[in-house]
Order: sequence, then structure tokens, then C-alpha cells
Amino acid sequence: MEQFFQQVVNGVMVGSSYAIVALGFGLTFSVMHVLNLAHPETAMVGAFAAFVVATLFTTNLLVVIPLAVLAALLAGLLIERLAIRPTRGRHILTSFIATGGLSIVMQNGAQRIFGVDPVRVAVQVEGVQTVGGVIASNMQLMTFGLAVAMMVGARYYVRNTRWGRATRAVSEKHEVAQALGVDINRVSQLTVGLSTAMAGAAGVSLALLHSQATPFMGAIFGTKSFVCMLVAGNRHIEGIMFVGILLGVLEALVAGYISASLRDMVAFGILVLVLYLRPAGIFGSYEHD
Amino acid sequence: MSALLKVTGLHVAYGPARVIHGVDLEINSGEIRALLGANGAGKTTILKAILGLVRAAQGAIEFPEGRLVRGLPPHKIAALGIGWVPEGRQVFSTLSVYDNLLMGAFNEHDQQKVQQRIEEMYKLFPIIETRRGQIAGSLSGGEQQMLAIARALMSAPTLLLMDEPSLGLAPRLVRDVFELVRTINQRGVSILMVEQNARQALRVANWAYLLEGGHIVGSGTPTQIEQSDAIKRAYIGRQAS
Repeated sequence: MEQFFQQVVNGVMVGSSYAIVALGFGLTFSVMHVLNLAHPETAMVGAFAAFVVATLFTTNLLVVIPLAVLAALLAGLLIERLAIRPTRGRHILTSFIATGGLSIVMQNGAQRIFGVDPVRVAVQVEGVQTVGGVIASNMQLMTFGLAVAMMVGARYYVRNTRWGRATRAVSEKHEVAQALGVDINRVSQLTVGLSTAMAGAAGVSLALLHSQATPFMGAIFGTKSFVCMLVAGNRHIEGIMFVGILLGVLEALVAGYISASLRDMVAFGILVLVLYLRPAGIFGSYEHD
Repeated sequence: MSALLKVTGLHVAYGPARVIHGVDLEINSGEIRALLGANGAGKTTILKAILGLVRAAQGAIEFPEGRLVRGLPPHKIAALGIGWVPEGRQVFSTLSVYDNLLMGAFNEHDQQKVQQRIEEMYKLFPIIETRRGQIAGSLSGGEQQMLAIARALMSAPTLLLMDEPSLGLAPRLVRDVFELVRTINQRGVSILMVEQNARQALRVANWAYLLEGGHIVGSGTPTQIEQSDAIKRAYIGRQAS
């Protein structure tokens, strides 16, 4: 039983990072109707920003994390201006191609600057916490706390602020929202900015947990998060968070009880099955109204 | 004094297909004008062009009183004082009734004024107050229409564009909606109304335009329009004349 809870805890820690990347995917898709394939690359930007800051300036996490998140946010705003805004309202494949192209440029750009080998992110958080035999490192708890703070912040923004309300209105009926005075370009910037800031937080978390960053780290991470968004449906942000954490737990249980090599296959298999049974996602999608 | 809204030589095209051909219309302060025509005549497209939601290929749109607005983004046009009640209600179904009203006052930063307007809307539409915490998608069709009208009034517009306000409503509610149009107008709001229900629209309008195939084919007072052959043509087709 102890092993079970240990795997669940490990899964929740990793899954919280999937959740915040998936949440960003979902927000951008449901609000702007754009599939931002460059979204996971902003996690990579966050990870490399953490590497640069930690290597050149300081390993103080209170400096490293905000700067890494800021770097991802700025990368997101650039993506919004170059590939999302010009393709908004066109066929979904247009944004798919534009952001996909940008994703390749970002991966290869990072490879050109930092090389193909992983770089070491030398930030340490010492210590572990043990509760009833279940262990979590302080680093795990710190990154989990960051993900939770991001989720709570995103939820608060969407549910309780003026621009959050406008964001929900745009996601449902963008023409009506515009005719009521909502500047859709501003909503686009805010949505992509928030989404990529969350991806940046996930990227820096991964870099800190694994003590490394690679130019292609966004690819598999992004695919998993994208599947989480599809499985949850884009109607409820809480649903996307839930599925992200669920994927992390599934992966950890498969790795712990079956085989680490089957981890992705089983977890994805279950998610694809859910999608087959509920095409609109577990919690529903606007597109299936 | 120039008209509150003046549209001159408006052409709108969707790709290669031109759907609005040189439309001229205007509305003065305090008036109710109706834009009548059969389904597909281009009525909604004209309203969307005025709102900046579809791009006009040619022509001038002046609001309020001579200011050229063609080419401005929709949120800037809305801020000038145009409200819109879209066809089919289009309330934000996942937002609460209260949040829908707040969205109507999106450009109003004075919270006191916003609350004051919400109270006014509750007085005008008591049913909305009883439903304020409910998700708007759970309201009946008639309640959603009231909410769509209240939401548009929340911006305190000088001009209200109403697109088929009676569409899909029970006969009793249709009468209520047209009564409401009069009440709103008496509060000083000018109204340009698009309607297929010509009989009811002509009862409340001061002036009406007839639209057929993207062309204005007639205009006049309700009496003139009722007596013209153009209205039969506009609704039934050319064989009626």
C-alpha cells in the first residue's frame, strides 16, 4: 500500500506540470480557436531561461523561477503576434502550420544556441519530507506548489476578473463579445500570455526536477499535455487540471507496477479509449454543443 | 442636424460573392426604423457591417452624427454607443445571468454606474432578477431574449440594433417584445430593427426600409410600406407583383 501511495504522490507531482501545460493548450484553443503547436516550446524556453540565469547570475529560486516564467511569457507574446493573431478566424490548419513551423524554428534555434546535448541546470533544493512512509523531496513539493499556484491563479483570473469574464465570453461567442466592447486582440494576448507563463512554470519545474534542459524537451511533454486537453474537453479548466494530474498518476502506477517502458503506451491507451467513448472529452467541449 | 446613423453606398462581399449592393439608410435620434426583408435578403449582414463585424467593401458608415466608423474594430464602434441584440439571442450560455449583464457594461469602469444599470434592468425585466445566479443557458427562449436585450442596454447605448427580436418566440411573448421596443425607445434610445415579422415591426416603427437581394427596394412610413407592392415582392418574390 505504501508503494501505491508513493507512486500516486510521484504521479501527482509530475501530473501537475502536465496539467498547467494542458491548461494553456486548452485556454488558447477554446478562446482563440487556434491550436498552438509552439506552446510546449515555451516550456523549453522556461527551462533554458532557468539554465541561463542559474549559470550566469544566481541559483536563488526566487529569481530563477520568475525570470524563467517571464521569458516563456515573452516568447508566448511573440508567438501570438507572429503566428496566432494573423491566423485567427482562418481554417484551423492555417494556425496549425504557422505555429508548427514556429515550433521547429524554436527547437532548432535552441539547438543552435545551446547544442544538442542536455545542459545542466545546477539548482539544488535539499531535503525530503516523509509522511507515513511516503517520501516527497522538497524540490518536488516546491514545483508542485508552483503548479498549484499557477492553476489557482489561472482559475481566479478566468472566474473572477473582468478580463477573465471577457475571455470566457470570447471563447463562447467572440462576435457578441466584440460588439459589447471587448478588444479581441487584447484577449488573445492575455490568453496566450497566461498560457505560456504556465508552460514556462512547467518547463522550469522539469528543468529543476531533472537538473537539465534539452532543445526537444517540449515535444513529448507537449504531446501528453495536448492529449490531456482533448480527453478533458475544453469546457472546464478544472477538468483539464484533473486529467493532467490523472495522466501523471497513471504513468507512475504503470511504471511502478508494470514496467517503466510501458508507461506511455498504457497511459495513452487509456486516454485514447476515453476519447473514443466520449469524443467531446470527459467534461465536454464547446464545439460539441 | 445630421442623422445619428448614416449608411451611404454600402457594399459587402463574402469572398467573390457580393451580398449587399450600395445600401443607403439612416436613422435620426429618437426614431425606430425597421429593416424588412425575407430570409437571406442581407439584413443581418448590414447590421454586422455597421458593428464592424464584417468588413464593408465600399461605402461610408457615420456614427454618431457624422463620425466615420468604417474600418474601426468592433470594440471601438461599440464604445461609441451602439448596442446589439443579435439574432437567436446568443446569450453567453455558460456565464451566469449576472455575468451576462456585466459583460454588457464591459466598457463602463464606474462600478457604481454598473450596479445602478443592473438595478434598472431588474426593474425593467423582473424575471431576470429572479434568475440572476442561474447559468444563462438554462433560461427559456423568452427569458434569454429578455437577457439579450438587457445585456445590450447595459452599455447605455444611444442606438440599439435589434436583429429579429421576435424570432422563435410564442405569440404572447412576441407582443411583449414589441411593447418593450416601444418602452426602450421612450427612454431615448434610437432603434434600428431587423425583422421578418413585418406586420408587428411596422406597428412600432416610424420608418421602414425594404431589402431584397441586398438592394434597398423601397422605403417609407409604415402606411406607405404596407400599401406598396414592394413589400409583397420583398417577402414573397417577384411573381407576387
